[in-house]
Amino acid sequence: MNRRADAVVVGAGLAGSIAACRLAQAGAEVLLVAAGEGSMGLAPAWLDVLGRMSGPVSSPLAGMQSLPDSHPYARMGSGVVQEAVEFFSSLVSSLDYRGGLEDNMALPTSLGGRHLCAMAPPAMAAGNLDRAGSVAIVGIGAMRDFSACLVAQNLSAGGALSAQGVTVDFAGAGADLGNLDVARRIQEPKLRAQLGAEVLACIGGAERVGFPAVLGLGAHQEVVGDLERILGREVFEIATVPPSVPGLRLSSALAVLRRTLGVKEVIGARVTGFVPGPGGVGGLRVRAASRSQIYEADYFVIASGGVLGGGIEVGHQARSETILGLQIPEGPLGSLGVAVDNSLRPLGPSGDPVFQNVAFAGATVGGADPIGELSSQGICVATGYLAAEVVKAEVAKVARAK
Amino acid sequence: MRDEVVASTDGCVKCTICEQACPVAAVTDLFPGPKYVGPQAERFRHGDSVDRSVEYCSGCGACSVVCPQGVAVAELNIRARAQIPRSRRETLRNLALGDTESVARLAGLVPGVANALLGNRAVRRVAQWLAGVHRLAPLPAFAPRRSVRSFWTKSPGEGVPVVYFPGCSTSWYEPWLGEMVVAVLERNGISAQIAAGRCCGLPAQSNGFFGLAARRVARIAKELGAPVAKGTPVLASSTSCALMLMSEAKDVLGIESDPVLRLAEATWDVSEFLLDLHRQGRLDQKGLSPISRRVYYHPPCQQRRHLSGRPALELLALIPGVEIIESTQYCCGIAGTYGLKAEKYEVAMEVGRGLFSEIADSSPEVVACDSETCRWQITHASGVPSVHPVELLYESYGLSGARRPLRQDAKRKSARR
Ligand SMILES: Cc1cc2nc3c(=O)[nH]c(=O)nc-3n(C[C@H](O)[C@H](O)[C@H](O)COP(=O)(O)OP(=O)(O)OC[C@H]3O[C@@H](n4cnc5c(N)ncnc54)[C@H](O)[C@@H]3O)c2cc1C
Repeated sequence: MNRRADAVVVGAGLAGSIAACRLAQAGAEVLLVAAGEGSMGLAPAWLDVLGRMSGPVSSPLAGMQSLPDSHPYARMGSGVVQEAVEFFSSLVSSLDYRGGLEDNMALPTSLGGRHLCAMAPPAMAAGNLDRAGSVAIVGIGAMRDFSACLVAQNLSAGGALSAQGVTVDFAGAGADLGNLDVARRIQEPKLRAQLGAEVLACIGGAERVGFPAVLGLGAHQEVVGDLERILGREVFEIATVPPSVPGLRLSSALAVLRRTLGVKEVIGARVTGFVPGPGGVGGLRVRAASRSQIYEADYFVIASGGVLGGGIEVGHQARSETILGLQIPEGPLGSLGVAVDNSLRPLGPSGDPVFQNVAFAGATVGGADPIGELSSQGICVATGYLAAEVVKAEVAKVARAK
Repeated sequence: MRDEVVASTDGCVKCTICEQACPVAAVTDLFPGPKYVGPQAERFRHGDSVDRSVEYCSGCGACSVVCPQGVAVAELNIRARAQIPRSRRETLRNLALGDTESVARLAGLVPGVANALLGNRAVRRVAQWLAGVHRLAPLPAFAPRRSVRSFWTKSPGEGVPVVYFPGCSTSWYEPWLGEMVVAVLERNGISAQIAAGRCCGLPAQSNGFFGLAARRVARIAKELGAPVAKGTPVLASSTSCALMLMSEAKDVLGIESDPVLRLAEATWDVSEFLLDLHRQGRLDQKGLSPISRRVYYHPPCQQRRHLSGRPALELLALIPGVEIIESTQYCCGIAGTYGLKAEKYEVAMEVGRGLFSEIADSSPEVVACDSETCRWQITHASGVPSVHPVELLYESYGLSGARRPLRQDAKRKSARR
């Protein structure tokens, strides 16, 4: 049994979602297939574009100019990166991202470190560490993985900021609460009013109040609004270890967009291989509950998440991409990826594209060191966007030919 | 032999994506979440039960669907749940809910009496106290014997042969749906031979009776061996039966016999099959006449595990005039027989709350949903009538003869109060 679409996108993470939404907006019939959900719910929802090279990067746009030619940003040019980020902001306009590519902002991490990123949702951006003044960091007793005192200590040690840590009980709390437990409970107005009152009693004159990033899922804005009203000062969110509540907000926003833009999706089904076709790939073999199916298209975007997401398999000797079976050049684990050309087509050992109708996107793309450079989300957004642009142009060509 | 399900636990990187997706953990502290009771606790079990924390897993399978690392979380948890030691009363209750075929065969002899009893509040109170079946839970009504007979005596028409597997629900509760499926297929040049009324084994499996479940599947595989060997597709209109035959017999029960594996390959969800006809240009699309109706479509959790997208949604979109509202919610809560149980009824209703309020907000005239137990739960909780998507195709083709009795819905509504 075969299915057909203008374009098939593999992967439901940030890169796959951006590519699928962009294509669907352009009127293409898009089929998205993914072995599972993407990893947005594991990462803070901030947008890292370029935060570190030999040292901290203060402007991603300026930093990009001195990347090596093989880096995805260098291949596409900073203009396209900027377009892509603008597309992202307007796509998820409901999340109201702050910041831009001109200047990085420094946001607190869950250990009280400084994280440099280009953009973040308002509640995270409000935690900008370069703003002067005193902050209170609030911990919730039953949440094991967030220590307010440790965060405050490390932030104060950094210099510019005076931070004080307080830990409060959370009404209705069990002995052991996860991030999601708190995020769901705090959506209850009574519970957050109680929490607010407790916090108010112990934060003294601090000008801003930082909470672990668990301030509600669907009702996030109401939660922040209520807490700010009760506390009479600005409230911000600090990234946590997974599950990431802000990441989930982003993930659900993109899921809704994919649906409303008419992307057809099959989540839970793994792509196990491909069948050859005119442009190199004719279809992808997808494992359903009991049979394999072939998803045919003129063009394919593979955003399979790299080593962590399942797109690249690392063995003792060799490293290979899991869908087309491409060999991955040797390198540090964090930078393993498929070598691509300027249109994100995969390159063979000779340096020529081996598949004409496939574009790679996201963490599976090589040439970068996303964790070291702090460029993970920027690369997803930029390559997802560019992949869609390339496919759009190809789909249009096919349509003209018909 | 290597057990792929157990081996898959090694793939778990503790990323918590399953915890984020679990609809049960989201509403109750009674369930610590799929990762905790699944890949984590599995390391201590060695086939035994170590604690009861997995009891509240509903088996909806959201965890397995979303796991990017291919961990068979739900399969592990369904197996672990079956190992929990039970009191005699609990075992009896679970057997009554799990051996649907025997219960239906018995009660189906006197459907009027059975329905009167099950619709009686005092009886339901006693049943809750005595048997642990919640007094408000949406139990289906047995169909009149006349309509059951009318379905079974349908003779296959001309056309490309398929086997239609009706399962318990069509055989004893909703025979008109079976008639409609057969008629819609016939309209498209497909001749459906109706398989014997059998339980697929899923209710037995989810209630912990793996031996009974395995016998049920093996019997079906044997009975359908001949057509399956000839390459005849087997179609199910019940998403849970389809799931059992397609994958759970192997992945949960661990059956690897040839007949069962061949049956798995041959099994189709009826909407997936019809959509495939459409893709091949063989579906009579011109014959679909307009129905002006506001329809809310909800894909059941079991259907999502077919891993075939939303075929019913694409089919409904072919009907002119239909206005479709697509569900954004994952689960109605019922999960087969989970929500019928006295101790789980409230949890199930809470799981479905998002769905029920979304339905209320979008005020549809009818809900379309591929699974019977979900339809019963949805109508019970929302008061909106619910149908299988094929019922709308049937109507749109202007076919007649089979009809869903209106009082069925009315009866379920009254049970809610
Ligand atoms: C365990 C883990 C921890 C992480 N922690 C952090 C963190 O602390 N901070 C941070 O910033 N980021 C973190 N990330 C996110 C990381 O930076 C991602 O690499 C990045 O967001 C990549 O996004 P993506 O869209 O390329 O892929 P992903 O979001 O990983 O999505 C990949 C998609 O491809 C699908 N897929 C893969 N192979 C196949 C196949 N064969 N067939 C079908 N579908 C397939 C997957 O199911 C998934 O839907 C983490 C990711 C993981 C997996």
